[in-house]
Amino acid sequence: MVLVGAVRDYLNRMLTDIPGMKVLILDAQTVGIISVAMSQSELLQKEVFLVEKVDAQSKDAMGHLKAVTFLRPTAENIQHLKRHLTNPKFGEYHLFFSNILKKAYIQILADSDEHDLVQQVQEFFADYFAIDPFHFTLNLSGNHLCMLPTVADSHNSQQACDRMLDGIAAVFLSLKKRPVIRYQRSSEIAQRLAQDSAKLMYEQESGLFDFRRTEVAPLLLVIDRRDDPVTPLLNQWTYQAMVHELLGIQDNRVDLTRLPKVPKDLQEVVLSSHQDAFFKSNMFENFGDLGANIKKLVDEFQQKAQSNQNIQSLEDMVKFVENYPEYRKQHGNVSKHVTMMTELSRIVDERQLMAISQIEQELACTAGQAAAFEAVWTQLNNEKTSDIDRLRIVMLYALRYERESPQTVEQLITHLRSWPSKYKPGLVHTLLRQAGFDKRTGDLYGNRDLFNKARNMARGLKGVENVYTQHQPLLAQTIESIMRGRLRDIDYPFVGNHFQQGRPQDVVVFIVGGTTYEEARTVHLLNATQTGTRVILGGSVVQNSSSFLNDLEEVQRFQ
Amino acid sequence: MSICVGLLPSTSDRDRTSEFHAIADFLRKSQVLGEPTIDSVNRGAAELHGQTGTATHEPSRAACQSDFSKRASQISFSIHQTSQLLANLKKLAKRTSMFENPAVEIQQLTSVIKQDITALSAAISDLQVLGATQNERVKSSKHSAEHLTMIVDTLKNRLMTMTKDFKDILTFHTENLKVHENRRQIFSASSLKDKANPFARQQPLSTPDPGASANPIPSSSPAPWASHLMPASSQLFHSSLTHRRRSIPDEASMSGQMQQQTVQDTFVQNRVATLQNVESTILELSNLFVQLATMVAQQTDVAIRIDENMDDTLSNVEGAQGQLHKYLTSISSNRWLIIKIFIVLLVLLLIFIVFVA
Repeated sequence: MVLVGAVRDYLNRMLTDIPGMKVLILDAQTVGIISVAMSQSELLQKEVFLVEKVDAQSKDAMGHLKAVTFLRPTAENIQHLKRHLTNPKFGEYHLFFSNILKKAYIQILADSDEHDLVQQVQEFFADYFAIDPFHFTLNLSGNHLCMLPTVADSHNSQQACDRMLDGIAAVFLSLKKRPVIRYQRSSEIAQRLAQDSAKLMYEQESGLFDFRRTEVAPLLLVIDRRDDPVTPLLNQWTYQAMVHELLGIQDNRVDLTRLPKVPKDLQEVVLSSHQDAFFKSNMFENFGDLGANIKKLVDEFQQKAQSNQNIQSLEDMVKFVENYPEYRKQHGNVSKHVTMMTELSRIVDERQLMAISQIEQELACTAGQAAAFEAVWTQLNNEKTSDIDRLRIVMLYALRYERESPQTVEQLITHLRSWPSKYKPGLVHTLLRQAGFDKRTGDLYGNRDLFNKARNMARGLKGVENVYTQHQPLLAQTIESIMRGRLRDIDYPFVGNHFQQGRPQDVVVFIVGGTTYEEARTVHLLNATQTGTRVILGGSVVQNSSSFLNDLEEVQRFQ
Repeated sequence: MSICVGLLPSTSDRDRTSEFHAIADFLRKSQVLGEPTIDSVNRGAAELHGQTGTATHEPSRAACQSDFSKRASQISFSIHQTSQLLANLKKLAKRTSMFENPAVEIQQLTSVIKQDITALSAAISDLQVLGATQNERVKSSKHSAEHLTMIVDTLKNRLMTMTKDFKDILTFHTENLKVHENRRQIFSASSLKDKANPFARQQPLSTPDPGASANPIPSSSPAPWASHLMPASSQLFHSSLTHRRRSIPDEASMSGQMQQQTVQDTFVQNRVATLQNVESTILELSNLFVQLATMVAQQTDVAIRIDENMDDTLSNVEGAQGQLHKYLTSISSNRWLIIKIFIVLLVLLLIFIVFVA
């Protein structure tokens, strides 16, 4: 409960210290930040009776309420606040900012505080979306900028970089740590981000980051999504990842409005690991086990429902009424998961994802060019295959056999053109240009050195448990080398002259260009087994295959 | 979740309320003081130090203020002048040469500066009293009082540093004088204490002129071999020559030729003494060389023995190499060994596959 806990801790301190009725004023980003950490009812328990956007234009003054603002320290927000302060609607203002507040902004605020309404100004560093205990994201708009060189769109790229820097700084401030920083050498943006963070933490705000030193300094590793383009392209079969891949999760919410036959109260559901016990225990289970678990849940629920039905005495009635809210809650939970499950299996059937996923996993994990080509070719010719699946398997094939047999890659690309598709045909080439063999540092397919080859072979001999989840993201390898202290200094250099001695206790891996839930799962499993090291994963967004392809399309437009 | 709350690491934050209040207070105060639009604190801060904020407030206080500031500026000006004098004094004191020792000038300057400094300190204490009375009389604000004390403090500080400089220069000067005295003793008096000096026993050879101790020029022209004993003295020698060249026309015009003549005489005498010194040193050296030659002759025996040993070693090494060669040929045709190595490799591979992967 590291990250979620930190954000909740901030919120608790923010809201419980101020007695009385409160109104919470937020901006577009902090709404998300708070909503992933705390539910509406919990806010209500803390006497927050109104949540308002900072740019909302309501007229009526409510002097009896105290305004608690939690905003990112941006110029727009300061302007909005200035408007609030010169023309106040609430009795008191308690200003909280989610990051380091510039001195000039304080002066503007002080200047506009004519009515003496500001009670306190605080920096509470909750500037990230803590979607899971060990997984945070920044919901960066314009994530494709991470793939473009800085010169292409320098203004927006600078903004994106600043946002990521803010996020990283906030994570370390809320963990009370100052890390040593490493980055992936081959990525320009990773290097820039790493150097910026080092400058912030060791020069500009070194006083703020001066915490009690631990024996081994924590590590911040900045890597690039493009080093592992395979993971976001694969179909996922574990619950959380699958929901994101097929339905899409935004701030731990799933939007089901587009789907047919969904009851009204389930049009938007929350999948949060700290609010939903069933989801927490099953978010990393694969699809098959999940089916069994949901069956069990439904059985349990049925039993309870039956026991509730036979009301004969007055005592029973009292019991029923007492248990009714609990019963309702469980009812909602069960129907939520069942709806989700039916929806998932419908999509799996419709798109024949079982067959496609098998091909994908084989492309990602086992070598064998001829067989793979055959499989991809037949799948392309299958009428029922959807356009996104076609594109994805061709991309995976291209990434894998780009060196070994470029002519078959070309052959597949031309064949792909003959099918109607909403995606532009040049995307495969764009992907190869962005994340081809020459651009990657890590050993994505385990075929770069002899040791990895032998290990792969041995794994092949042992056999795999589940064909659909045999793929291990590159991140697993990277984290393993960090834990053994074998991450190569040449590929992942340090920033400045701060070096790592020994095994770091805390590792924050930041992926520029977005994480995936598969990687979050890997990190979670690692944290569950390894007691010594704690890994936190973060990224600019959480990718699924369609968002990854959208980013690629944006990049293609620029070229 | 609720269980975990207790175990949480307390998160860090930064409270900037006080900063905010400070700025707000400041802005408010500066608005009261009659500045209509304040958009930046920098301007306000500048105003704190300037006198406009308080001067526009009350004319009577302004008059007092101006009297005060006039006196302050006078004091500061005289401090500046004194510091210039001090610089001059420093320049004079830095002259290490002992010939045109400007003792009189230094004396004069020192007394002048001393007077100045005492006068200044008196003036500053006057000023302080004036400031205090003013504060009492015109119940002026905290800022202006602070301002007055600040000015007095700055002036005091400047005076203090200047006095310190002055003291430094004086100590430097006395040190200098001491060094000169020492040097004179080395080159003029009989140097019995200089036993460590390798050329000490040649000292009696040089005939020390009793008049030389009084006259700076001959004493400062030691033999060139003494230059490593006293690094400055060679320059001194040189400078004395140049000085002499320079001083000839000067003194010809100023004083009579007589003094010039005696100077020349003592100089020539000294030259003779030094030449004698050189001669004796060369003799000594030749003795040393002879000794060295005999030592080299003794070493030949040892060198020859080393040469023989080397030959022995070489033959031994060659023998060893031959033996190793023989062994290599014997094992290179060993088929059993090849098989053994292969078995070991296979076992290693098996272990690797089963346990490591």
